[in-house]
Amino acid sequence: MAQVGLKEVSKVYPGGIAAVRNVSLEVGDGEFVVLVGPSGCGKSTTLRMIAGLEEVTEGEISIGGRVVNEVPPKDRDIAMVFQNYALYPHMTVYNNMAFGLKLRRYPKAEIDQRVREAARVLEIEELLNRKPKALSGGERQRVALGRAIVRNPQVFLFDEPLSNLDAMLRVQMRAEIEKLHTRLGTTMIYVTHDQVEAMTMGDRIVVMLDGVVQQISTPSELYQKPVNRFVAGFIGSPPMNFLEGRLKSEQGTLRFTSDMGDVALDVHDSHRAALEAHAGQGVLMGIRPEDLLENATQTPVPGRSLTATVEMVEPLGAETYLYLSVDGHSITGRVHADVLPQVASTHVIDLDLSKAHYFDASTGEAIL
Amino acid sequence: MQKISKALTYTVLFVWLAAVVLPIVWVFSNSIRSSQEIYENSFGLPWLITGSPYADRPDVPTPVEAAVGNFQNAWTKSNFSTFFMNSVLVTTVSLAGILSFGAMAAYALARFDFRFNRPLYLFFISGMMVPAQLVLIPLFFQFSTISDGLTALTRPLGYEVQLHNSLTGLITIYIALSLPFTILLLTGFFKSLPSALRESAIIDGASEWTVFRQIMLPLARPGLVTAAIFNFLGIWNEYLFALVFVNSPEKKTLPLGLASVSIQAQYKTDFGLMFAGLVIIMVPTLLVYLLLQRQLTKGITVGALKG
Repeated sequence: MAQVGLKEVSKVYPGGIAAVRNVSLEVGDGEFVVLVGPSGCGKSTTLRMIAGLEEVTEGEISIGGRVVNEVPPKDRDIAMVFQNYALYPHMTVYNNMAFGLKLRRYPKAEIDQRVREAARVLEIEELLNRKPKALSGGERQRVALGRAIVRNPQVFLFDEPLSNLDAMLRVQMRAEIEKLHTRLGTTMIYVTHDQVEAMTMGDRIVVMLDGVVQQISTPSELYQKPVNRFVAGFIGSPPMNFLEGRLKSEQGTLRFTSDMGDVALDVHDSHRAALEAHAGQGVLMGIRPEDLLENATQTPVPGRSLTATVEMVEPLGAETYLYLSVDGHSITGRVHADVLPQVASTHVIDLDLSKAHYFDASTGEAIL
Repeated sequence: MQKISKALTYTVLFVWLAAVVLPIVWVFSNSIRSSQEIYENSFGLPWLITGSPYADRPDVPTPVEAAVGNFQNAWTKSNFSTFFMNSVLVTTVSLAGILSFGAMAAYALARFDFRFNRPLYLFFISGMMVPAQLVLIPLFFQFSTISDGLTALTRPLGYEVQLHNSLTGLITIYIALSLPFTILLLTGFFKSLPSALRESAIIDGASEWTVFRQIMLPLARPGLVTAAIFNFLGIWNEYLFALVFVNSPEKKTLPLGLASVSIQAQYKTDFGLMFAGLVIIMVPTLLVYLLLQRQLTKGITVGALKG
């Protein structure tokens, strides 16, 4: 087990393309950290630099307190699980798992014992004599995990390991990896573009965009206190709703009015102090779909309700997603399963404004 | 309309099949006939099956004697045994050289990003644009120079290098001439193997050589087999370079041997023996092709499609 440290790490490809810019990160001993972001955000490149598969252009990477910039991958004491599993197709499952140990000249008995132990943990004992092509996607992924754990490395690196699996299997394997983490207690760094995976698995999450770290936080903090518009929109499903508008001070109340003028919402008392200074400025109001509340009487409450046109209704059984249109903005509501308004009808919905987020309209940085 | 076009397709294919198969069948059937039978009955069913019309004449060999005699004479009297062994030696050593050098070069070109990768690749490939006949004469003189140069170095050791009239020289030529195509084929093949395999092995602790030997080479087997078959066919049947660079009878390969038998015997040609010689040349080719046919088609398609 070991800590992993990144100090102002950058990666610039020939031709001047900066894939990763000034990333600093401390991963604690035994911690599970998830790097998440859209494709091309530099998360995989960061992981590959930790693995030693990409050279670091600038900055310093350390594993277990030792700077590893110049250390070849095999001497970093890491194991990596790849998106396409990267199992050796011509070797049996047993040999796939034993390959790394054989290269490191472990005694035969120990190799056998380690492989069988890992196979037992992952419940793939009966697959040991098969070749990868005779395995299902989920089984292959288990073998890939097995190959990583037999080595008993200081750090596990995962590069989108579940992307090739179907939805059901993904949920199952997610749980397996979490169990494995609890059991082994090894430091794990996990890359994914799926924010649900990130939220459910990570002790801490690193959100990246265009090679730059946007926020490093626990899942709940990331959800409740996103530092900018990108993080707010990226984390959460369905994503946060955004309304463009302005803060105005009118007769002692601070009010948010949308650019088109049809929406006027009172700023919640608890937010007023922080937003006072931004009166008269352009802001972006964000509200999560679950903070749209059903208005039972369908009577608008001034400063707290929206009157919207229903564009689409998605009943999911446990809840309903409402896709609404207000003042040229599309917003999504996540409401009780019983709420099933007619498409194209007018629908009144209340907002829990105590949960609203406000972002600077020009920079996108969170004000609150 | 569809029926007509289907019938047409089948007709064309059938004619093609006949054009390929009939000559082979004819060669095989004539290899078990005596010269006399070939003169009298070259296209009918062999006398070995129908019975000889000279069955009552003890001075004419029986069909079985004629068939066995053809192969026996070819193998021993006409030295096909020596030619065969030379051909086997030249072909196996050349193939070993072509495949090992070709695979290493192709792997490096396919996997590593170095400064002169592209020009080097084009340099290799450009070899395919030069007709082999064109290099024949310059090569003949170069061999003399190289032989003299090397001999100057090795003479103190009591050893003389001679690339002319030597199987070593012939093997060197075959390896050099076959590398461009082999590298073209295998580079595409190695490129189609996922790079994550290499990365995974590197993290597992493998050196680049181990990755090549233990991961990439086994996976490239269909490509290697394809290259092996193509080159086998080319080298096993090669005549021109062998004719120019080899002259002593004990160093001749099969195609040269067959030609020399037919030239020597210009006034009294033993056709039965020559057909038997042809069969001796053809059988290994057919066997190799039949055994590796499945790998061959796999190799061609896998190499062609990336991903």
